[in-house]
Amino acid sequence: MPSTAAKRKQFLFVDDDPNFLTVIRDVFSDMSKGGWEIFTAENHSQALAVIRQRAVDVVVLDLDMPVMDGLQFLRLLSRAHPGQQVVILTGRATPESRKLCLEQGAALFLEKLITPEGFAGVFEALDALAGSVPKEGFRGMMRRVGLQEVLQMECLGRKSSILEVFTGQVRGLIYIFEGDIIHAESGSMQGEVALYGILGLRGGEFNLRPYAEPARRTISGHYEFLLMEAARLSDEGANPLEAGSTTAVEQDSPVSRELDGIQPEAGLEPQMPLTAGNVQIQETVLCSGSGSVLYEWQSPALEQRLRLMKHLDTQCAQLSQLLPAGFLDRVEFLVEQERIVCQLQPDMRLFVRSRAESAAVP
Amino acid sequence: MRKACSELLARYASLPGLTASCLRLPDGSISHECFTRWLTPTQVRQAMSILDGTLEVLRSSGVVPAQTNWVFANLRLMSRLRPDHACLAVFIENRPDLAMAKVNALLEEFAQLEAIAEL
Repeated sequence: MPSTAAKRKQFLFVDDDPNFLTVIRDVFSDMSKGGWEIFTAENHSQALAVIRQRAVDVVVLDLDMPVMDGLQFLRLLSRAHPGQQVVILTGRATPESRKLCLEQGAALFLEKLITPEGFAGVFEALDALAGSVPKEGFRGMMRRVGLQEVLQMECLGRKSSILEVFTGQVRGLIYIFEGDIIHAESGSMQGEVALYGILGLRGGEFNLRPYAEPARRTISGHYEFLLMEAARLSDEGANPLEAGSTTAVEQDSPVSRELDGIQPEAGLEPQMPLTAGNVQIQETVLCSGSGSVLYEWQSPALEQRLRLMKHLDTQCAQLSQLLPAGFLDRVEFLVEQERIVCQLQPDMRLFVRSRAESAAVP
Repeated sequence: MRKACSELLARYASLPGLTASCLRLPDGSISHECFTRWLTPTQVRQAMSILDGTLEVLRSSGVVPAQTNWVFANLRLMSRLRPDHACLAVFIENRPDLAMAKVNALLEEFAQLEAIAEL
């Protein structure tokens, strides 16, 4: 029997079979004699929610999961939670799947055997693995570290801080509260636009400052998805904070107006068009969740846009109820050379129409 | 009519991340295929109906899209609409490791199929 003072080993089992999770919880609770704290999740969203709330020693994944299978989730965990010990527990073990999972960073690859001996074998392996987790941390200096890595560390540690980033031209602030990115600002830009702009910067310096509450919280998404979106946008080369791309943003567009506060680098003509990748913003509408217009730029049919977003919101709810799709990130429409993007959140709806040299959707 | 589309979809059946497809022909007939157990034919048909509703709303707003993409955390619903009103919707897992180029190629090929209504 473990002493009450000893830290219980924490396990998260992820499996789409609730009956199996119930059995696992019962059997392993008995076997560990109270030494294990067991969490369960029936899908990866639940699993991420658990991991965000607490550190677990080992995540035990089923391979054959709907929507995102165990291997895909293993890859996601490797990126979003580096260092997290992950074990695959599957009823369909093959040499290929074993090789793939171990290559992707799984610590163990175990077979589901629903016999007393099978459970005992899995229990012993997991117990030994959790016991081997190093308890001591390291201190050191990292050089040439990426902003995304700094953010990941802060978020994973569920810390509260302000990440200050500055280059010769740009200063940006990213607010992290208890592991969530809650606000970003750079010049007059705020929210996700500012966050993606800051994360898209190609070099500079950063400083982690003590947390202070921002005037307004403008970001509410999960940090993993925010970072993934930032990486995607960075791959596209569309960063409104950086000049130097090939196509101009209209001089009086919101993006160029946002950039007004940023001093150009020495040698650039002040008249040089400011850029945002190869995209020209044509129209922007931002409204509250109830449909009140918060911001509008060059919208020729404002009422139609508001009606459209309201309809899309309804249809989004229908699709979300119908399909195991998760939350909506955005809706995109391609119309000839134009692209319309709508973001629908409970407290905000955004409509952006843009024109690109190439209208391909990433 | 269905043959050209069936051949096209068969060529892309092994597209990574493809979980279901749904085809609506100009005569209104619908065919669909599910490649996973977590999407049922009923769900796919109902999703197609919602996508049709989206197109109606867009038309009434003066927007006639060639392609619509609903991007959810776990799933992308991408549909391509032809001038003859044939529509192909594909349900793709939303994974960072999946390149969308092949999906776009499928939708582009669908858009370029000749005289689908007369085949």
